[in-house]
Amino acid sequence: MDTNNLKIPSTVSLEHILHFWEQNDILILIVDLNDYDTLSTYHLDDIEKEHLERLQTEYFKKRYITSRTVLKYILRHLLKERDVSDISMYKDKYGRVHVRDHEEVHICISYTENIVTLAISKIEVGIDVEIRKLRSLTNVSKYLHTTLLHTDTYANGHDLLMTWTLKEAYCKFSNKSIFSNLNKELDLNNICHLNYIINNKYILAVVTD
Amino acid sequence: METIKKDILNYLNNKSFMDENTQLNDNDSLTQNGIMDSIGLIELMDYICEKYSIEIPEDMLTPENFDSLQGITDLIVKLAE
Repeated sequence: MDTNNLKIPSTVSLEHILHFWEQNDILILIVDLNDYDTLSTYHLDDIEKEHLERLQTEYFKKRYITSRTVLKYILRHLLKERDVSDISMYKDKYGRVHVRDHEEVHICISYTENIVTLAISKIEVGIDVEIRKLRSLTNVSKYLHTTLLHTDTYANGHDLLMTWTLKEAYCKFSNKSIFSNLNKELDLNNICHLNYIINNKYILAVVTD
Repeated sequence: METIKKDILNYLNNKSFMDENTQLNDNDSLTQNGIMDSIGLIELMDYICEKYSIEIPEDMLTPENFDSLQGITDLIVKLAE
């Protein structure tokens, strides 16, 4: 599995995002939750507020409100809608996020700690981000098929995490539950997949056609 | 069974995103209700394998067995018999 190291630049303006959108098929934006201290639900519609009500932790509430609010602001510009309230999103029964009346736009969201990654795409895409820290996965590593890494050595914690992010991204791309693919080797033959290490701190996997 | 449930709840109190306002019922979805993310569930799987010396058969790797306090407790009881 090839890995690319990336240094993320500082903030980008909406105008730059619009420019990038014109030049590229996929935009992946990284949002720091610490930059948003508001928990205003002003831009959420009734369905989103209903979803928010179900969330039982402040952390999940904050990341939900922030991701939806930021996405709506950006989509309003990219899709040239008049107002943020013209952007409406919903989740299908498998958990994939859609923009109502804009099926040509594909959305994928992933979170880790204080980071939200938002993929806005003209083609189907799955992403997953995880903070690069060692986790206790010794007993479940056999389910993760670390042979994906093409290494002769026993997979270490970071390798497992790389495999995990790729599996998650693949499942989101395929709109399947992670549990349905946990113990299955991924068929990567007809897809494009990339792994990035961002600022030496986060692992990001991207899967697309 | 109650001891196992208490142990899992204790794990969730320490390792999940639960805060002082969190209300968790036995059959609530841990992921849909914002208690854990998916990698958190995998770490929980690892914990129960270690703690209860069990191996989880592949056909039992289902959301029903892992996504609620009751599902996890039932799974441990079944496998530790």
